[in-house]
Amino acid sequence: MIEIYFLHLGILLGIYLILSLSLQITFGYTGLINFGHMAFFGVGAYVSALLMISGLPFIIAISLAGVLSALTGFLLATLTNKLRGDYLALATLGFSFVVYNIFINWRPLTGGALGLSGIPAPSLLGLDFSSSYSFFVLIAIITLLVYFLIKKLVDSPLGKVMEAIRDNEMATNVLGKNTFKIKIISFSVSAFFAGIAGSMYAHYITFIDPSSFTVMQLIPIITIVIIGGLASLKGTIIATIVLVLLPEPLRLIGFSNSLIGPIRHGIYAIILLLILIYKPKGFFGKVELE
Amino acid sequence: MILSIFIQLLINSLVVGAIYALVASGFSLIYSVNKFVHFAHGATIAFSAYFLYYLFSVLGLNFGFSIVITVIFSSLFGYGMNYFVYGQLRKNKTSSVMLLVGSLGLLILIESLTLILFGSNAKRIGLMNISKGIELGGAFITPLQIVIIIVSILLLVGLFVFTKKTKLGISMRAVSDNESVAEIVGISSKRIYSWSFIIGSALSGVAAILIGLEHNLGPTMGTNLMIRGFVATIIGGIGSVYGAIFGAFLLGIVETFGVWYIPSAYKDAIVFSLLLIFLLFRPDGILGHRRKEVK
Amino acid sequence: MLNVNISKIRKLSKKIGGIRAVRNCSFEIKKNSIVAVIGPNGAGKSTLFNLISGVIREDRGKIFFKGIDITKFNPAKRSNLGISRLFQRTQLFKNLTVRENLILAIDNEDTKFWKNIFGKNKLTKEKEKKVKEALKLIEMGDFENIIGRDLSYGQIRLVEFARTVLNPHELLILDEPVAGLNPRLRNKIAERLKRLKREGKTILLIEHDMDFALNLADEVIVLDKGFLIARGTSSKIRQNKKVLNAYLGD
Repeated sequence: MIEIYFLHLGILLGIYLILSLSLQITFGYTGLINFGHMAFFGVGAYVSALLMISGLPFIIAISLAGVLSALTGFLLATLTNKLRGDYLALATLGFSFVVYNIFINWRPLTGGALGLSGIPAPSLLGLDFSSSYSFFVLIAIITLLVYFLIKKLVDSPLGKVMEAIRDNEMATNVLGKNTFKIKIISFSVSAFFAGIAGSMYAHYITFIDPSSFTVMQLIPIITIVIIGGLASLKGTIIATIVLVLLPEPLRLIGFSNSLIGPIRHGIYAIILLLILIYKPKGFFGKVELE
Repeated sequence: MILSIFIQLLINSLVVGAIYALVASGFSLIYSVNKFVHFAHGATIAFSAYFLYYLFSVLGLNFGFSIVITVIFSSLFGYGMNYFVYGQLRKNKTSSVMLLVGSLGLLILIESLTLILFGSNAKRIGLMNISKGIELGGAFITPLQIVIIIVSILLLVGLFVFTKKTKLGISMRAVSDNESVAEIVGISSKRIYSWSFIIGSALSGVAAILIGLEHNLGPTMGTNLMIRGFVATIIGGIGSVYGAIFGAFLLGIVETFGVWYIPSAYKDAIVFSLLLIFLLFRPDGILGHRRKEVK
Repeated sequence: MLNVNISKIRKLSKKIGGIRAVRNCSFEIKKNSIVAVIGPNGAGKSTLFNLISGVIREDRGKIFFKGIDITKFNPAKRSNLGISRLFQRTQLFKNLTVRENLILAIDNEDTKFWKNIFGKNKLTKEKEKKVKEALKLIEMGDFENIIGRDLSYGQIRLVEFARTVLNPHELLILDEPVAGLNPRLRNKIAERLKRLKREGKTILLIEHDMDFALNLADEVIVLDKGFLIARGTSSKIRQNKKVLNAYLGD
C-alpha cells in the first residue's frame, strides 16, 4: 500500500517537473513573466481527455494536447508582443482568467464546473498504463524526454538569443534578431510541454474540472522556479523535489483534507515571499530580474 | 415596464459601481504612489469582512463599535503588508514585476489563512433583514443600497478634497508624479508609501463592510473584487485615481446591463475580456497616463 | 549605377518630450568614409543615431540606405541590411558571458528553431576565428567565459565594441566608442577603425574626445540644438566660427 503512495508522489513530481521546466523557458530564459501558464496546462488536459473519451488513441490525444496548447501559447505571444513587465504580467493573468472562464462556461464541451470524469488511462502499443506502477514508468520516461529537449533548447544558440531578449530586447533587435519570432517560439514550446503535462494529469487523476487550472495553482510552480533560480534547470529540479515533498508530512500529522490544501498554499506563499526578500536569485539562479 | 427595468438596472449599476469605486480608488491610490500592482488589496477586503463577521456575528460586539474597529484594522493591515513585505522587497531594489509577484504571494497567503481560520462555507453578517425598499418609478432600492451609495460618494468626495487640499494629499500626488523631485523638496517617500497603504486599505475596509452587509462572505470574495477594482483602474487609466473611479462606475454599468443580455455566468467573461482589450489596445485607459516606458 | 553615397538623410525631424531634438537634418554619407558627428551636449547627436538605426521613429523625414528607403524598417531589418550600432549607454547582455555576447553578433543561424533544437547549429571555423580575433583586439582573451555582470565599465565597452564590429555590417554607427578607455586602447580602436575603412566599411562616429574624432574623420558634421550647422573636413571645422560659438556661446 505504501508503494502506491510513493508512486503517487513520483507521478506528481513528474507533472510538476514538466510544468516548472516549461515555465523556465519563458520566465527564466526569455524573461517573459507568464501568469497564463495554467491555461496551457488546462488546454492540454481538456483536449487529451476529450479526445480519448471519444475513442481516439492515447498517442494522438497527447500529441494534439501538446499541439493545441502550443497554439494557445502562440496566440498569447502574438497578443502580448508589445507588452513589458507589469503590463505583460497583467495581460497574461487576464488571459488565464479568460481561459478559465471558457472552461467553466462552455458546458457542452468541458462539462462546466462539474468537469469531465471517466477519463481513460493511457495505452500505447497494446500496453495498458492504468496501474500506478506502469503510469509512473510512463511519466518518468516522458519527463526525462522533456528535460532533455528543454536542455537542448536552452543550451543551443537559440537559447542564448532568448536570454539576450531577457537581458535587453532592444539590443537583441539591433543585432538583427527577429525577437517577435523568438518570443513566439518561447511561448509555444513552453505551452507545448505544459500541454503534455496536462494530458498526463488528466489521464492519471481520470477526472478534471476548472478548479485545477486557476492562478492559485500556478503559485507553487512560480515558487519552484524562483526558489530554484531563474534560468537554472538544475535548480528547478531540486526545488521541485523539495517543494513537492515538503508538505507531505502534514498528512501524517493528521490534518483534515480540507485544511491541507490551504496550508500547502500558505506554505508555498510564505516560502515565495521569503525567497523574494532574502534570496531573490534563488539557490542556483544566475539571473536577478531587474 | 421597460422604463422600470431600466431604472432598476441603473440603480443596481450605481450600487455595484459605488463599491467598485471604493475598491478601485484605494487600489489606484496605492498604485499611483507605489508604482506596482498591489494584488493583495483584495485580501485586505476579504480579511476585513471576515474580521467584522468575527467581531459582530461571532463575538456579538456592538455593530457601530465593530465597524470602527474593522476600518482601523484594515488600515493597519495594509500598513503591515507594506512594512513587513513590500518594504523588505524594496530594500533589494526589486523591479515592479517582482513586487507584483510578491503581492500575488501575499494574496495567496492571506486567502489561505482566511480559509484555514474560517473555512469555505459562506458566512452572513446578519444585521438587517431584507427589507422591502423604497419604490422609485417601478424599481426598488433598499435602505442598505442607499447607504452604500451615499457612503461611497461621501468617501470619494472626501478623497478628492484630501488629495487637493491637505498637505499629505498633495505630497502623495507629488510622489506619484515624480518621486525624485518630491524627495528633493523634502518629502519622505517612505512615509508617503505607508500613508498610501493606510488610506487605500481604509477605503477597502469600508468597502468590505458594505459588501459584507449586502452579500454573503466567501473566501474568494476578495479576489473577485480585486479583479473588478483592478479592471476599473485599467479602464479609467492606471495612475489616475479619478480615472479609476470613473472606470468603476462604467464597469458597474457594463456588468449590470450586460447581464441583462447575456447569462450571468458570463459576467466574469465580460469583465476579463474588457480587461484584455484595454491592456492590449488602450493600456493608458481613458483618462490615465502611463509611467515612462524604457525602450 | 554606382552610388557614391551609402546613406542619405532627408529632412529628418524628431520631437522628444516637447523638445525638438533633431530639426530638419539632411546630409549624405559617402561610402567608405569616416564621418564624425560632433556638437555640444543636447545637440541631438545620439537621437540622430537612434533614428538612423531604427530604435526610435522619426516624426518627419526619410532615411535611405544603399538606395533603399529604410524609414519604416524596424531595427532588426536595418541591421540585416548592414547597419551595426554601438550605443552610448551600455547595452551588454549582463547575464551572458563575453563569448556568448560576441557569438550573438556573428551567428545568423540562431533564430532557426528546428536547426537549433536538433543541435545542428555549430559555429563555423571561420566565425570561430573571427571571434577569437575580436577577443585579441580588445585584449580580453582570458575573459571569454566571464559573465557580463562581473566586468568593469571599460571592459564592458570593449566587449560592446567587439560585438558591434562582429555584427556583419557595411555601415558602423558608433556612439562614444572610446569613452572611458586608456590612450593605448584608444589607439588600438582607432587603428581598427582605419582598417575597417580600408576594407570598404563606412563609419559614423560620435566622440567627445575631439582629437580622436577629428584626427580619424574624413568629414565632420556639426549639430547644435537639433540643427545641422556645419560640415566639412576636420581642418575646416576647427576654424569654423559657427562651431566655436556653439561650443563656447550661450
